[in-house]
Amino acid sequence: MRETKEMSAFDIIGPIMIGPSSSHTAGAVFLGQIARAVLGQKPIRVEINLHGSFAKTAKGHGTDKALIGGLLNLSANNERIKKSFGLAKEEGLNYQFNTVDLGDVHPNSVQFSLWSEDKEAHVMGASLGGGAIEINNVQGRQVKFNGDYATLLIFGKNQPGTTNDVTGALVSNKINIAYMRVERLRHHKEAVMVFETDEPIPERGTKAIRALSWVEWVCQIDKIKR
Amino acid sequence: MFASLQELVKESEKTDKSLASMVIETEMVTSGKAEVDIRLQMQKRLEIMKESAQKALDKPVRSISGISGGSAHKLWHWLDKNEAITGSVMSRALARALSVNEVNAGMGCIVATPTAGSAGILPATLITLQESHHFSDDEIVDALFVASGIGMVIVNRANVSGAMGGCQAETGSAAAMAAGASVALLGGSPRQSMQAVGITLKNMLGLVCDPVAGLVEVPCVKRNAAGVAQAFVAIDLALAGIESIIPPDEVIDAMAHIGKVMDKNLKETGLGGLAATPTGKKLAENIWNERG
Repeated sequence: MRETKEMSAFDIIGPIMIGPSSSHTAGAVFLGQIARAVLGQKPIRVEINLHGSFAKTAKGHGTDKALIGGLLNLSANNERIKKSFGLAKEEGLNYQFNTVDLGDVHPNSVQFSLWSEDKEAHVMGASLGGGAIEINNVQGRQVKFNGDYATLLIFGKNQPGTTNDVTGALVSNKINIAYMRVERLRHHKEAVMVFETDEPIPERGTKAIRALSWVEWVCQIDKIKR
Repeated sequence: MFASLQELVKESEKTDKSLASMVIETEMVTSGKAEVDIRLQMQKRLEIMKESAQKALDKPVRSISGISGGSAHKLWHWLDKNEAITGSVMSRALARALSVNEVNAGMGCIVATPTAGSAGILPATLITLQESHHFSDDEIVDALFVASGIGMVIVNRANVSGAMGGCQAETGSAAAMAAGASVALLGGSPRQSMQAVGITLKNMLGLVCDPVAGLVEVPCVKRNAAGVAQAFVAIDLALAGIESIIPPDEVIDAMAHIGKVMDKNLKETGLGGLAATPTGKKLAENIWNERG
């Protein structure tokens, strides 16, 4: 028998989105939303490096407006995306676009550097088509997640028991893990963890994880609202 | 169940269930939601479809790039004073298809059916049939579920992406979904619905995706009108009992194969076909340079 994909009727009749392109507009909004979630607060300055097709056709597709719209936390079906440059001004967000060559990466790739008063974030990702996206670098660390689940990113000292600490905190908050990836970086000194969960992790859950002695950086990203 | 159109027909004949209720029941199982909520979710999409099908008729809508726009408004007002060769039903559907895609190109809100670039065909066809035949919203929602069932079979056997399969996979699939759903709406049998899918796709095989400057505008907007026309052709043929000599599932497989062997330049890269014409190149250059 032929293998069939798991699909919803609303994957075919949907998403509801601002045009013109699911990859260059809707996907760009999602990338902007995730960059803001990594910063964890409202940005006041952002530098956006556009690569490949994103650089070439940004204006015609409204990719630039969509990225800013996402950084302002607008949803992908909010008609105000079209006016996001004006909204950015009102909300005190300074932005700059650059065209870059990031090498052998997906043609719809973008790199964000964003700042609030006391924080900064660096995020790189790509829009894969049909509104699907992938984040592949956060704060200079290689990661991989797609925003289809609530995502928890943790960077910290690499020592025995770290995974156990995190899964323990998730279990005690009744959070079910969909996927997890744990890697060691910087000569095995640093642990980089990505947990994708069915439910968003409540504040007290992330607080407990943040309090762990080996944890250096934590970020909770909501599931993309499609 | 969504592995083939034939399976859908067989299941429907065996269980004496409509195509729409089969799709809704499957959605209830996979989503865990009640029928009333699933129908409401589709009704919300129908409302956005109606808005986007009307918006560019009422006043001209220009694209973000500025290279296209205003066609839907032009046709709609021409129809006020002129008798369309395509008749009063189809011509109004053509205008609505243009409207949805102009709204899309102008960064307005649309429902991707199945993609943004082909979003005009299904809404334009169904909304116009609702107007001419006085169908209720509930009946149109049923038709939208039939369309999504057809779309799922196409995704399982081929794809609905211009970058993977060319325009045949986008506007071809959209038109096939519109034709199949319309036949069900107009009282045709499930078998006739699937014949309409096969006939539509057959007529759109080989259509390349060659957007000027890589934008969802030229030729996408007018190809949505063309998709509506193909759907109308197939609806009448299928309702008359005419069948595709090549079974509809095999037509979908042929589309998948053609998409695979189609040159990369003709699959949404903006490098071939209309995009590579002198005018296409000039328009692209103007847009790209403006970015600075």
